[in-house]
Amino acid sequence: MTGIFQVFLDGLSLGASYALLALGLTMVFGVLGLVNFAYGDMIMWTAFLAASLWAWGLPLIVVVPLTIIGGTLLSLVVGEVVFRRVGTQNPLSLLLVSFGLSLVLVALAVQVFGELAFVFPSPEYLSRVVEVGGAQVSVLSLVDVGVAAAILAALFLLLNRSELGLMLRATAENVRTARLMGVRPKSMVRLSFAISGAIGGVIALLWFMKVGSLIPRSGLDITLKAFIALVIGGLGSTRGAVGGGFLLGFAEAGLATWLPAGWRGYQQALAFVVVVLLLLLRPQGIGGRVTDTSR
Amino acid sequence: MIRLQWRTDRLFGRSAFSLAVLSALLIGVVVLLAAVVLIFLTKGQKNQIILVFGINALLVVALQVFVGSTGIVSFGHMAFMAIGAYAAGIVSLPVAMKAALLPDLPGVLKTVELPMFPSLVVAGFAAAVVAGIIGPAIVRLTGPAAAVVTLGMLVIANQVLRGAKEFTRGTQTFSGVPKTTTFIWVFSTLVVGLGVAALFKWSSVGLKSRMVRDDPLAAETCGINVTVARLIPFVVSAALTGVAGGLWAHYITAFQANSFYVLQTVPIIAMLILGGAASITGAMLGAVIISTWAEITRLLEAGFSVGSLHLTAPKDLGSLSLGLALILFLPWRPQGITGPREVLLGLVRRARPTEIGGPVGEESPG
Repeated sequence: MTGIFQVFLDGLSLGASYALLALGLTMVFGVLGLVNFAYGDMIMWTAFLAASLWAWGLPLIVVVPLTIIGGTLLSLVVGEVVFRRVGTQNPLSLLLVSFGLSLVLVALAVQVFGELAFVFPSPEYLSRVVEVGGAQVSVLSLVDVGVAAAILAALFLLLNRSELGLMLRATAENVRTARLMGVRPKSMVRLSFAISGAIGGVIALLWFMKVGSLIPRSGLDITLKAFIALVIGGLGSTRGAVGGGFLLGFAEAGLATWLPAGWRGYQQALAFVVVVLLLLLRPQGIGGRVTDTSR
Repeated sequence: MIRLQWRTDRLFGRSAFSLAVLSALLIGVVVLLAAVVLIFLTKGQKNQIILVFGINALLVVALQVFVGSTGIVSFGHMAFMAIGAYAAGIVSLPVAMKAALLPDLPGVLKTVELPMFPSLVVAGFAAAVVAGIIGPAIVRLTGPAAAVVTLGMLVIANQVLRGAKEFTRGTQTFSGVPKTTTFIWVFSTLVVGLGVAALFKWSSVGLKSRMVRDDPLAAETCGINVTVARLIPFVVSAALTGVAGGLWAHYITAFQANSFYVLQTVPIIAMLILGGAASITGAMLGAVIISTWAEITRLLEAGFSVGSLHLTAPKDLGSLSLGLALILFLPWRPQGITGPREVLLGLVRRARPTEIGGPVGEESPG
């Protein structure tokens, strides 16, 4: 019984990060049609910012907001400089441009920070382990879940209970109609990049505090995880993204615990096999609508 | 009279099909001759680079078969290269070394030791079989979702290859493959590959898959099976990629599962996209341009002298410039340099005044 509860908690904490990742991606996908291959690399840069601020000796209370602001700014700049010129109606070009951006970000990071691993510091009390209902959990995992819940609630309120959210959703639904209703798609694209970047800033902190070290190529792993969660959930659906993230989290936690030792190496492969099977049954994902990207 | 033309890839006239295939072969022969000239000019100092270019060009042409005729960008073709490389390695490894390196190989594999040609055939066949099995799942998706799933295919292949210790030595280096890849092997395979790509492109199956690419709904209404029309180019493309993998295995002789991963996919995709995914000419052009540029950046990174000044370009200049090229070029020309145009041999007849429309083999304006 405690075994199941342990897996549940592990899955919840993993899933919280994945759900945030998928949310960050899906915000921009909804409005612009961009599946951002460089998202992980943008998070990697934000994490380097955080690590540098830390190395300067700034306290946590200052580092956290500065990192989130940094992530937001980076995302805004990238959106303006790189993606706006591509236009909204070409998802494939957008994807390939983000592919190019990923190359540039990694190459620049190697240039600036070198290939050696950076230690990503975290306060000592976060790595402490507490017992919850017979299961062992680190404080950081609980913080993960709490932060994810707070962000999800805030986003839900923003999207469903505010005029700004209505405008965002309208733009995601149909750009032309939204424009006729007096919504400026350009500002909505900016807003979605800002939200995506802010979420990226949060993930940069949570993810690398858990991993503990940082290299310029760390971004790829994050991107892959985000992609799986996104595809499970269905492109363009916020609810699907959250569901996909948690599903992936629980699947990974379950596989890590119950998979026979000989199969351990195949964890990520199995996760992808599940995704492929799922897509065969439901090409639009669990929460997605049928769009022209799925048949 | 037969004349070289630069025009869209639609064919007119009776002999156009054979001429189109012939023109693809011609491109291959031109590249081959250029490579020979280059080898003489550089006095054999760049042989390795020219060989690798040939293999990369074959990979790009192979990828073009799928991307060009389905419009789906595959990020996972490196998986087929890996399968081809391992398959070629396993069947051609000397029996004595097999006993030492791969003692757990099952049955026949333990005792076979194939020469170059059958080994390449096995490489292509193995990749094609795998593609045929997983293809139906992959080709149901298009656009960004397909990109994600093909990337997943690569991750799965990578982990399976690392896990299948009996066949691949797991995470250890697979070594001892006979070094039999020569200039002639690479470039004659490239010419054949170009021929296959052209044969497929203008065959009835190829035309069907391009119709599905342009409008799946209309194609389905015409009785075309969408899945099959995408699956066949997937398998053909995988087979060619597998052969390229085999060539590479026989050239590099030692490799591991991580030699075929996301990082290695990048230049191949960039070559195809920048050159023009819809066109065989474009694929070759992209391969030539980016390979040349990669070599230039490599020289720059090694350092160069301007007068008395010794300068060294920053590390990673290659991937940095490749990324910048994608970012700057795609918004401006999403279809690549050539777009859907090809270099084609066309049969040009003198226009007779009685004939309605223009001479056969030429595009009517507009």
